[in-house]
Amino acid sequence: MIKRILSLTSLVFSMSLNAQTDSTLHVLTKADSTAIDSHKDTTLNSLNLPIFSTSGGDLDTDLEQQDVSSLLMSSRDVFTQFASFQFGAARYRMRGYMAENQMVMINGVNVNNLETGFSSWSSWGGLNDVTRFVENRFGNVANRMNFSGPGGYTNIESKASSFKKGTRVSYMSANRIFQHRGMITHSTGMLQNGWAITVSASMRQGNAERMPRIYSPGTYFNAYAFYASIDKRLNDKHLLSFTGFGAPIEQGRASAATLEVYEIAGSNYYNSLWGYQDGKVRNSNVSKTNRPMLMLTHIFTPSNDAKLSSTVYYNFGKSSLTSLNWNNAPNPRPDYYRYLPSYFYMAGDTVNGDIATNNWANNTNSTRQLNWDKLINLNQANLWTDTSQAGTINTTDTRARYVLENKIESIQNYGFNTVYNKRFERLFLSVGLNGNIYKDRKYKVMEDLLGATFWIDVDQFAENLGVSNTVAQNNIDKPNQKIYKGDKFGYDYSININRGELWAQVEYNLKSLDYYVGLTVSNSSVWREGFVANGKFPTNSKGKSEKVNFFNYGVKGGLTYKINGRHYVTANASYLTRNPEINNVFVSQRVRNDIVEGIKSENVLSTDLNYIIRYPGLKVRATYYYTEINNQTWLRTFWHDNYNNNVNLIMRGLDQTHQGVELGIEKTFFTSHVVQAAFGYGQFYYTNRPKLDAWQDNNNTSLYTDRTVYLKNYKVGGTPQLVTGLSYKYNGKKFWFAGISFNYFDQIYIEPNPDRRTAEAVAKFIDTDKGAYDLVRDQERLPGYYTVNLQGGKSWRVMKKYFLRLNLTVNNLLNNQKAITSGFEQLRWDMAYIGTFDNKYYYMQGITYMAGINFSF
Amino acid sequence: MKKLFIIVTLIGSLFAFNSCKKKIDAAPIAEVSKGHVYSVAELKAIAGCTNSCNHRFSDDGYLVGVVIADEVSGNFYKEIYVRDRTNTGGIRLDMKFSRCNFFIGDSVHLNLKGYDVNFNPQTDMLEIDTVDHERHMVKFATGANPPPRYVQLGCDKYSDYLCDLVMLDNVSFQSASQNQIWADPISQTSINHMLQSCGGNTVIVRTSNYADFAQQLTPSGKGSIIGIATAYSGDDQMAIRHPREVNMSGPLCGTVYHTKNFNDASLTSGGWSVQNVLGTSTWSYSTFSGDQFAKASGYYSSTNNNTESWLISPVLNLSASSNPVLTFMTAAKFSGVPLEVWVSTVYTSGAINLPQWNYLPGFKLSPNNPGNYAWTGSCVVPLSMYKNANVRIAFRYQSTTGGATTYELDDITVREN
Repeated sequence: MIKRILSLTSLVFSMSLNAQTDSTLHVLTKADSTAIDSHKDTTLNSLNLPIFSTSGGDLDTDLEQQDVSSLLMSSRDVFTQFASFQFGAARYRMRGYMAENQMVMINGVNVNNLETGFSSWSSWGGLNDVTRFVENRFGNVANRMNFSGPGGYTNIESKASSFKKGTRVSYMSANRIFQHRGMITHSTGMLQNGWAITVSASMRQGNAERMPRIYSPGTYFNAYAFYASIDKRLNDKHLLSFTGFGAPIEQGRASAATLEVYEIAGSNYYNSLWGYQDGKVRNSNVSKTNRPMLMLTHIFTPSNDAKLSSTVYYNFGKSSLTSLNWNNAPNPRPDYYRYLPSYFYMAGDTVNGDIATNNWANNTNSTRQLNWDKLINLNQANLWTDTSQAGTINTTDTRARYVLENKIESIQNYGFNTVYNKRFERLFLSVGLNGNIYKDRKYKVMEDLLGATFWIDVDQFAENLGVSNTVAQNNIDKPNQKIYKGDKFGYDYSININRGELWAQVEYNLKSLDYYVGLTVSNSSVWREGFVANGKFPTNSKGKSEKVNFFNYGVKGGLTYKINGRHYVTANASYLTRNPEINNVFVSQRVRNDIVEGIKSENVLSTDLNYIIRYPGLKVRATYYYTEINNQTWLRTFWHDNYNNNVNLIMRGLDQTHQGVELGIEKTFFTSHVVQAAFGYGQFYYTNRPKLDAWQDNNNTSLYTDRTVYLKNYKVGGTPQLVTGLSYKYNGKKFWFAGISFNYFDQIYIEPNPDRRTAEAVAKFIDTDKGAYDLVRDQERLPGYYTVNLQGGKSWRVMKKYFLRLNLTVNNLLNNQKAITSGFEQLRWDMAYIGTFDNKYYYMQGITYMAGINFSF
Repeated sequence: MKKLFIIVTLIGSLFAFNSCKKKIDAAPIAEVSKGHVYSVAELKAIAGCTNSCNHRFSDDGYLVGVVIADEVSGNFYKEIYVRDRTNTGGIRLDMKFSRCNFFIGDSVHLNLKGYDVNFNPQTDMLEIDTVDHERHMVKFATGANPPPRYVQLGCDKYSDYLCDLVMLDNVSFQSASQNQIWADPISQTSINHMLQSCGGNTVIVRTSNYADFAQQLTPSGKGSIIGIATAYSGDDQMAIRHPREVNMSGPLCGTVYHTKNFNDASLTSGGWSVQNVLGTSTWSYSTFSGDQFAKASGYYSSTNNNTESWLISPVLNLSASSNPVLTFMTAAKFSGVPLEVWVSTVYTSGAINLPQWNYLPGFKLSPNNPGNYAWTGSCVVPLSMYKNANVRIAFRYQSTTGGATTYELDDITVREN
């Protein structure tokens, strides 16, 4: 397969790869930029989104810069190409699938995160040179490397021996999230002595304070990436391969906001997360990720038609996200709803409403953005005398009102993966065994005391409940512990997953019919282990939780009927069960071991029917797909200012259906004019009435349980359900190309907040209140919009052996800055007045460009 | 190409299939027809019931009305007032949370299930305690403009209007309360200011120190004032919504042309006289538990008699007046012929010649059947048609053998309104 891809490195293809890798980067970086921190806020976590998909996680699981989707990489499928390079800015997810439906592999090893099910593209972000060779198949498909589900798979083949000898140096200028990227890669190719070595490194840097202009103010991006692979061909039958890579990324993030905030701030790219400290821009939500992967593979080829590939790997490292925390002090976030004009106007207070409006328009430092200097002053004024210092007057020690905390997730994932492939005439057999021992330790560390001397590790809101001092402790063993910079505090626990899987697949080829059947069985054992005893849950916060076992299985099959050499009909189906997202297994994982009632695996049924035409100069694929994802457990955590604590909403037994059509056509005229068209129309919606529970982080008693959520036929949010693209590309004779594409997006819905769709939420309404009732119940649909993108490139051959390539991509050529790509309903909402916590939105970036030059020799 | 056509058709049909609109789910909501809508009058009846009554609503039932006072100015805190949609009166809703976002003119409904309705023992005001508007109250329309009820002091019974939006006219603050701050936000005290009518009836205007107008000054003139009728320990009170609804810039109460209060124990002092038309004289001076007044009764010799007797004022010169009015108080018992008031501009003395007199309408009498001598203000009776130098007022008492009401008459005043 790899060889076949390599053999396709025609000039055009390599050019398009360049364009595509750029797009990939764009997608990645944009994804990074849009992730938001939900702590101390009222955001819907499902929208802490990377570009294609929702993290689905609670506030602590979004530390990783999750990104999704096979769609990013080169694919010869027309529709998939549009989805990857044209629809990405609209956060389009093919078939509406979340990332857990699609398997991402590196050298055949499944690298989807075991907790979230998502793949972390940021782990190898910037290593474009060595992650270019991708095999990508979308939908229910045969997979010789692993058992993949309804979203298909992406395999990045990245071994030293895969790369031709040569060196490649590139530079890119852009204004999406980074401004500069440099990459260098060297491959020895397979040497006479059986060794092959490839090394690669990259650097990406961006800062909204510098030019060229980046849309989200206060953001920055510093990323490096390193890669080394060494292959040794021991003999004809044995190859040993080591691949290691890592990508430390540091990023200052951006937030979503309500329409009111965008308006009063005067910008659709308003970002509430930054402010000035000593006259310098500082972002409060800084994420850092560095999770290197080391893998050692042994490939045994006993004969031409058999291969045994075995890999052991170790994936480890931290991701972290800083955010503000506070104690006994007002909310420091500038766009907290009580600081907005509407809060005053709503209560009829026009005087203060006008004052707030004016402040938002004119006072950047004190109103519109975080006021770091003020937080520090308030901290330094808070002299604090301990009970132990009774009788003395403390004149130096201050207790922090505001701190910057760092939520850390440190993973250790040991895994092995073995696959045996064997061809028997018309039959191709694949069998695999894989396993993981995974541990993710999660804790908080004091990042910055903001001028104070210490922070005390207690739950002030438990204190307010009038309970004993012991109950308020976050760590019973160290009561009233003073926390200094770098100390752990708050919570400390690990999520542990032991998993094993056995799978097999048989493919059979006949003259006019191919078919395949696959099977998998797996078992996951999941538990939480607490390392501190929390005062509110003294008996079930420290130590190991009950182990929850998920036994899962899956079957799939498909057939291809070859009408003739040009026309094919394929049909596929799969049924599988899988873990819920592990972060949804625990009621309140930060503080206790309790497990969600009746937790069980979800199940997925997926079918598709495709008609494929392949002529020279004409390619068509038409697909109808139907997928049900049932029995899901859904958990989101949000900050509730009335309880002054996190509330966990848990939906149990959620069912949804994704069905729709995809059509992709590519027609080449006169060999150099290529016209492509893509059309996708889906219906992604919920199909039942799940149950809803609500728990506070700091209370043993639920807020409520077992409410029915009237969610049937609500649309799944976050992605356009209707997409259309049309592009034209001209391939010049002198190694240049230029293309333009037009894309239209519609049927974009805001994900519903389940709490608003319960009978209890609307109990006060009567049948004549249709208007008021509908305000609570209705699902917002965002307006459709379109984009125009340009691509172009040229390549020179220098002295017959070197290549110099230039390429340029311009997205959103018409500079539309009013398109809302997505948004979410806040989970915190006001039964009295729905407008108090309005929906928050993300605007699409205006015109952006990427211009790259690379030189290979 | 034919196959392409087939595909397009196939896709098209799938698309058509897909396009069916699916109705989104809806949590059930109550039908108002299933719950009774209570008027304030009905709520008063429930609240007033004392004999082992249940003041708590156990089923869905609704109060539907319009907000007549909100929290915007700060003079009301954690409370709003609502007038029912059938205009039977107002009710105070004590709110569980402040800043409830219901404003004057909002049409609202409240599901009464689980709530108690009571008269507050301290204030006698009709109220529902601790209303959770988030859960039970809905604003279903805005923009209503409920007018105040006109209440005349010394005429209308103030307590009948408690919790409703009322307007008093021709009132002024007593001199100690003129040009004063409404309340004191600095020392954080609410202030009572005494309002009075020209007839001497008073109402306390009480303002919270949290009112955003607290430091504005009270007016010094006479005019109208709009507010919520409240009470405290038996005192009639009022809480205004905003000073812009206080329009008291006119001249204070003007000339008093004549008063007769019988406190000198004389029926005829000051030029008053009696003319008997039929039977023996029925008018006399009388007194009862400190009150001194004139009394007329056709019941004597242990029976009802046919009588007619006029109590006539001295001549009044109203030629220079601008808006003269008459007020008086009556108390009555037993059925009979109602007391009448007549005016003449030509009578001088002697026997009554009825064509010289004009009947004066538009006053209120104490109820007489059965009646219990309840002192009742006449309300303001205009005399503006009689701006003459030779005006006399007369009270015509009549009785028959079929019935003889006993009337007590006091505090007769002719003054500039």
